[in-house]
Amino acid sequence: MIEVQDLTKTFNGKPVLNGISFHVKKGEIFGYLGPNGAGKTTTMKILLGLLKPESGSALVFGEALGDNGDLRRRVGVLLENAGLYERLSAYENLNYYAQLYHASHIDERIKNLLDFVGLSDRQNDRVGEFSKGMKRRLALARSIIHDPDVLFYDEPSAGLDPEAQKLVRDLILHLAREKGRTIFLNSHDLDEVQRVCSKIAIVQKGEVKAYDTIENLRKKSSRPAVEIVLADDKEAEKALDLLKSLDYVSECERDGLRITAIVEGEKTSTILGVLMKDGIRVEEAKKVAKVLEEIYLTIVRQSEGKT
Amino acid sequence: MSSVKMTLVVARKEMKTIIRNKGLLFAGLWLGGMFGVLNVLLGGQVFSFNNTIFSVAMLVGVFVGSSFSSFVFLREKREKIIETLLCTPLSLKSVWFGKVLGATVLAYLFSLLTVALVTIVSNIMLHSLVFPSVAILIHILAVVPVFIASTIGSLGFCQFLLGMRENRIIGYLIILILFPFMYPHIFGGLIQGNMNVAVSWVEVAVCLIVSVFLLSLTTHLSRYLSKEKIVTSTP
Repeated sequence: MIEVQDLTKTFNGKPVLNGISFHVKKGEIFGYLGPNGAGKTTTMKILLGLLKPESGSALVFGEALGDNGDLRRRVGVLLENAGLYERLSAYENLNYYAQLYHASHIDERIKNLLDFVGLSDRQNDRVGEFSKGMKRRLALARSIIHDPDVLFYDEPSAGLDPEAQKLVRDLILHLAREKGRTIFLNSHDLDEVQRVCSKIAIVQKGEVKAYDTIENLRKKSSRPAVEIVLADDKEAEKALDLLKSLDYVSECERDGLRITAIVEGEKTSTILGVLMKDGIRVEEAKKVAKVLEEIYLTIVRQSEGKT
Repeated sequence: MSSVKMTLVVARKEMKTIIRNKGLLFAGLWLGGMFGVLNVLLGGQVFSFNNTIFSVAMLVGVFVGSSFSSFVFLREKREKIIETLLCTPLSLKSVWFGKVLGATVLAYLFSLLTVALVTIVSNIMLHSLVFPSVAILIHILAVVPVFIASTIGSLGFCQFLLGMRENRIIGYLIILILFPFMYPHIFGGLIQGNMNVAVSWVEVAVCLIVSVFLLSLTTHLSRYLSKEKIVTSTP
């Protein structure tokens, strides 16, 4: 559905994208992550035909969007700017874009979408009077006014309250799972990406540093860790020394009653057995998997040469 | 939907947003009123009703049109709303033409209002019934809208293509170049050494040719507008 191959782009001689490649299948929610200035928005703008690549290709439906009106009709966007006219009402904004996209059953569709984003009672109010969150919700409605097959979202939850963030997540999941839409999600919100994306790419300095499903990245980037919560603070130092003495424990950290140990090839039960044999009482023990934030930071820091 | 219909959708939207901008409307009314009445009052001994109508119709249209142009082109570009618009199936040429059309229709209305005002004030001042000549009527009905459209078209083209600083310079330059065509009797009189020159079919025809040429040129050049240039030259 979306295919990017060896994409390069420079601005004023400075490389912004340096051989980016990835693909997104139909019905996938693809998270495109990276620090500011990494080239995320540039990639999206090339895919949307707003910028031209130096070399390589950026295809949607197997073609470059360019000025192809028929293909553009199948794409919905929500960019950094909501793309709304402050002097027009919510209804007029949606109606304008619906006409530009040749949407059908416009009135009914606008009514349903305003209902969905919780703005039906404000449909005749000027958008200039709306809060940032309301504008973002209206922009979300605008992005799907023509029922597109592919959606490009740039920071869709930016500036939204938790309730509206949930609405965004629900909408994205609904569009992908129930309607089979493909979603390209450019985001800084790692929690959101973790909750909705099936696959991600982490881009930095114009290069893709990681590209896989979140689960696979988790497996690749994290070593097995065990988190142990002790019952008694007095036993913590003894437990820490004991764990450090084990050959298969490479790292061990203590934070109050909580000890986190990186174990090589051994099971949690083995560690527990050792502690209990020495009379150390354990309240809780569990394997910990890295969350996306840790994976992201590890990859970004590694590529920056930091530890 | 044909590209003509799409262009009309854009034009209608532009008109709606301009009409809802009270500041812009007030500035237009003030400009029309000021230019209209001042031209009559300051005309003095050399006041010619037809000459005044000829110039004021274009002057008001061009100045009001240039402020509308900044609103529909530059502001949308500065606020990056244009990026979303460029993602729609609309061609860049339709976007440009729709904006030109919307701004021109309203600027022309201001021009007509000023002409009406000048006619009323002149009739009161001269204590007799005066009406524009046939040449001036044709000028008002056929040349002025094309002249306004060509000015807004060229300004809009530059505003899409260039950054803020370049646009200020180009904006002044375009109006400066067009100025002699708005006051041909004065410029012509200066050259001939006779300030009592009356505008005739010749001046009307010259203005029409210049407007059509400029409009055709910018329409042709609009083919070479690129989305990348618009997106990356954001003021």
